[in-house]
Amino acid sequence: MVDARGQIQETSAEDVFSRLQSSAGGLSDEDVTERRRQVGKNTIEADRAFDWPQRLLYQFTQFFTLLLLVSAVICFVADHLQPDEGMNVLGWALIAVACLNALFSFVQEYRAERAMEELRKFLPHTVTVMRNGTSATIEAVDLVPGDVIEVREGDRIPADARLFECASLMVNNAPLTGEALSIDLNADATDAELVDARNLVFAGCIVVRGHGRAVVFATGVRSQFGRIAELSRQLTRTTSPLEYETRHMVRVLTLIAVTMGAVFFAYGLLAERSLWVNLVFMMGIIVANVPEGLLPTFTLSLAMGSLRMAKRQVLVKSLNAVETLGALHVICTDKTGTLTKNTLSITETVCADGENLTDADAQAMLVHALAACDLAFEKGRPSGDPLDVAIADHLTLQADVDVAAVVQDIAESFPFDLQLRRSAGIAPGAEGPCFVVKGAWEALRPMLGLNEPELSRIDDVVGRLAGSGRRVIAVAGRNLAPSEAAQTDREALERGLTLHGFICLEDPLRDEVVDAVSRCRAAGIGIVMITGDHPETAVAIAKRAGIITDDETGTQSKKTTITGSELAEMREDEIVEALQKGINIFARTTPEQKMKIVVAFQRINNVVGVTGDGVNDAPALKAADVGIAMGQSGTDVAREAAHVVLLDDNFASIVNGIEEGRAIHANIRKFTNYVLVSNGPEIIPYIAFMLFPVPLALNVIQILSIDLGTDIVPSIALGQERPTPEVMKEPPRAMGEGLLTRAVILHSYGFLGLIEAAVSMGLFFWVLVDGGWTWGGDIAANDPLYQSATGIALASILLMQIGNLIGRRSRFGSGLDRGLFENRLIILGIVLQIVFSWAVLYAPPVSSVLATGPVDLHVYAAAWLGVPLIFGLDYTRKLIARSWSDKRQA
Amino acid sequence: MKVLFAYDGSINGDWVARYAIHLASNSKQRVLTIVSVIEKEFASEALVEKIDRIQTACHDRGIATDVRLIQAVSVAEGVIRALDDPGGTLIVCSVRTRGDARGYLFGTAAFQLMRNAALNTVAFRIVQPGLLGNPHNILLPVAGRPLGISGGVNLLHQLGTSVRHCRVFHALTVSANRYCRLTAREMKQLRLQGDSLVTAVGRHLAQQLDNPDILVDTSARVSEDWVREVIIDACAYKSDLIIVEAMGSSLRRGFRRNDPIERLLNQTPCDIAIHRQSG
Repeated sequence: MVDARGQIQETSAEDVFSRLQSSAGGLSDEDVTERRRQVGKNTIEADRAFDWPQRLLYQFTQFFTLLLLVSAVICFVADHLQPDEGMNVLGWALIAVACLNALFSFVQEYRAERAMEELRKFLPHTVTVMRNGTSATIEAVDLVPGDVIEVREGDRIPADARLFECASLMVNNAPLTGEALSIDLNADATDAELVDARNLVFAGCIVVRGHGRAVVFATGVRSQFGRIAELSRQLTRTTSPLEYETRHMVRVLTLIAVTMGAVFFAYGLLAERSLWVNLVFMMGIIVANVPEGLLPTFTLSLAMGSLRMAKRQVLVKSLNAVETLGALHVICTDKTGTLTKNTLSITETVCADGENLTDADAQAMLVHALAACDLAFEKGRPSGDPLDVAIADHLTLQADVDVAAVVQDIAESFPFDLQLRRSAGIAPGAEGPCFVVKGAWEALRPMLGLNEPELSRIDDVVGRLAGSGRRVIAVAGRNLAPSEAAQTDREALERGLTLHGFICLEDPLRDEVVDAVSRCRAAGIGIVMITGDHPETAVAIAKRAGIITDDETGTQSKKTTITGSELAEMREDEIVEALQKGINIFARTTPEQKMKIVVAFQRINNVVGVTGDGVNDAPALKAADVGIAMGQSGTDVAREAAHVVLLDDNFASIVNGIEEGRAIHANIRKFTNYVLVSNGPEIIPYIAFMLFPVPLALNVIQILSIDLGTDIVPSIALGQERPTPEVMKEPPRAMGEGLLTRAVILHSYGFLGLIEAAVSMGLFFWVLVDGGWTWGGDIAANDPLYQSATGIALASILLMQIGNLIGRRSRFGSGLDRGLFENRLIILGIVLQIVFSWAVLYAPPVSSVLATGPVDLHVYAAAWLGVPLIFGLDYTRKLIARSWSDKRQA
Repeated sequence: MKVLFAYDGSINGDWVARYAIHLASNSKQRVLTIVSVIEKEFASEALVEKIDRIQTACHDRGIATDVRLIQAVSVAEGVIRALDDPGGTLIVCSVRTRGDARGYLFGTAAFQLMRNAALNTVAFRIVQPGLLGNPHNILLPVAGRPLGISGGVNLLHQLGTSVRHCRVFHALTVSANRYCRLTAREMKQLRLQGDSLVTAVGRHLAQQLDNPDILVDTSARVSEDWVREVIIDACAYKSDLIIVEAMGSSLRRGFRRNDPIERLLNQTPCDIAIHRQSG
């Protein structure tokens, strides 16, 4: 440490050692030991190992789980005091539900830890290092800041280091930057930002060519790679809308339940009822109010939804993401491979005046272009840069050229340089060795021996070609004089070139994309394209996909696009303003800029989905409401950080996922409403019992037989309803629109719940009075008359739930209009309700457990009238509601 | 403000020394007091050698040094003994290099010094050693009081020329329970409230800095978890250094693992400075 005036990349190679307190001969053993003691090992392992018993225990401290466990304890206490009530069964059932919920949360947390395992694979096992003045091979985890390392072709870089010596060093920073193309490095000081500096090597990246020596300045979690790893691990996920809604619903219902329970407990004490009776009734009130089966059904519904999504190529990693997909306002998507097929193919070869080349000329130009290619061959198939592969494939298929032989003859190769935006090579030609350059027109333009008017004319040709969304590659070259044949100085060779022509390539749009984009538009979902491509190419693709229309591009093309360099200079307010104005194309951006866009969208309360595939996409994937990783082209790190993985990398699959997500949310609302309806007839008997001198119409076990028994299958059936066409014609639901709205509470408790309560209580008292009971009279719990009366009360609720079930299938329709046989689980649910309503009364094994008894058949038949009654009244309400809705819309 | 650097001879101390030199170079006095608390009467050769290097670096930049090797029971006590003008000195120290079960700050000398309301203390955690104490992009999370950023402004002043972009960030925190029920309209109202507040703080900061080369940007967000928002913002805007004011309440009760400052120190994607101004 000598100076503090610049960052490490700004320091000259000579000063690096003093700054990092090292020397060309490396550190001494004492230094290494001391530094390792202070800084730790060069690994991205967490400071603390994943303490699974602790994390598992933590899951049992969540509000809902605690509620279930407390209820279970009360059940066991009650069972101990009164063994015949079967409360222990309930206790075990509640514990099972609590365990399932906790286990599920734990598994999700455990999976996040796996991302770290995947990241470790990016780091090498061993490294060549200078220690005590001699070269040695050590384990990479033993590196410390100040170590001098040596990197060679094929090596993975073990830590962030500053080069002080290098020869033809080229690295691929794809694991860090997502950029597939390799870059040349040197040891010169630079004023570039740290992550863009060409004199630094970064952990996790690969040496493609050459060798170099460097001083380590950051290891482990302090390396750029380690920081991304730490971030993708530490960054907590956003709470999904569904989590908020369920949390809110559970709290409200629990509050209602506990308050009512406490009030009636106090009332009972004042009325001088026994403590045991009071306790049982408090339990009854709480159990009746809490829809025990609802949350397990939630989980099951989401799990089944995720299975359906998997069939549509959308693998959901977090169950809540199933529903969050449906709440998306905006999708920020990559272009290559997601909107397009990621298969470059040559569509046209053009000469300098814009005319198409003849077949022979085109073939000659493409063979020339091969001299500037960087291809490898595996089992005869070319591999490498997609552009080079496209040229090779074209020559093989269209002209039957032996590409491998042409490549073998290349005398000198200058691989593609990202900064220079071109590659070059020397190959034998008809008139001796020929130097060829291939790359962006802007990069080749200054090397041509043409005057400005000629160049301007070619500019127009290139502009026209690029404007149609194609990638345009210029090919130029010159024959070398014998004296130049051994020349390797690129700058000396790159002058006085003749333009051979242009290769136009296209990455075609995926077939399903146009339809998917139009479905998104209809569903009010915004699409933002984030690409590293040229703005004109991006606009052309966006136009073809329907992301922007001609109106938007015609006169205001600049207003639809922002480039990465512009984005880098923009303040957040400006980005937000641009997004609100409808900017939806970000061209020439880096993957790291995605996060900036995601954050800006979240600032205006949009639920954002973002796609990504590289390691450096991981933080954005985690910060977004839904991170969508590419299953085929994505890295393991991106897949682990994401909520959703697209198995086919296809944009259309995201839209399918959104459709399923919306359908699932609609279904959750349906079964929540369905389940809450039965709470009405469960609560009323307890209120009546406490306030009036009447027997209790339902005991706790009977209530649970509904909540954790017969209501489960119909709820699951409602959770499996297929998406309706309307689901993708409505805008995304508003933020803050919960599951437990006033309308749902009023409808469930105040309308259908009251109807069910009135019918079941009516039948209860009919049987009692018919059997000789008089108002205010006592009746024993084991009296057959009482058991018959509670039996018919329970059976009538079960039957009326059939009418409720059918009605819940449609918001304004009857429910029957959706076709009963479309969803076989609905039929199963109905059959179950019927069979159970009969078994409650007439099957001794069931009636003995539930403490019910038989009634006359005409009473049971009367209970059936409840089905058309509740269905008819609900349908009438829907008709009125629809007419109001129509009037409001009109 | 004079700069006093509490140095322990560790590599982490060397990283923090770069900030200390930088801060001293922009102080009026251009003096760096280096305090090292030693157990024995004499300092080890290694420590002396390291301090020499810091002195050389200071001399190269025209900064005078005043080295004090103090025998004391604790580092905090040694530092306090070395202070000539407590109110006019900025104490620079480091947090733990690795966050163990105790966290990064809790129980350290920096923590003890911060609890002393009469001192100006800043503690650094270095996550990007390659910056060599030269941050370009600063993130300044604020709690909402314009006057509350005065300590941060002083630090920014003393970081001087290396700073190019300063982003004032305010996360308007609401409870998770309320957050889940916020309607779009309520959210917009809260955001506007946050925006107006952060704009005022940004304006105040720009006036205080009075440096047209530093771009001052502002941002407000409504959230249930401000730490998460700060981290995301630091990532999105590639911040080099987060400057956070230590809250008196946290200091009084002592940091714990889930304390926001400890979480920030643990999860930060860039260097972070926790500071407390006297008074």
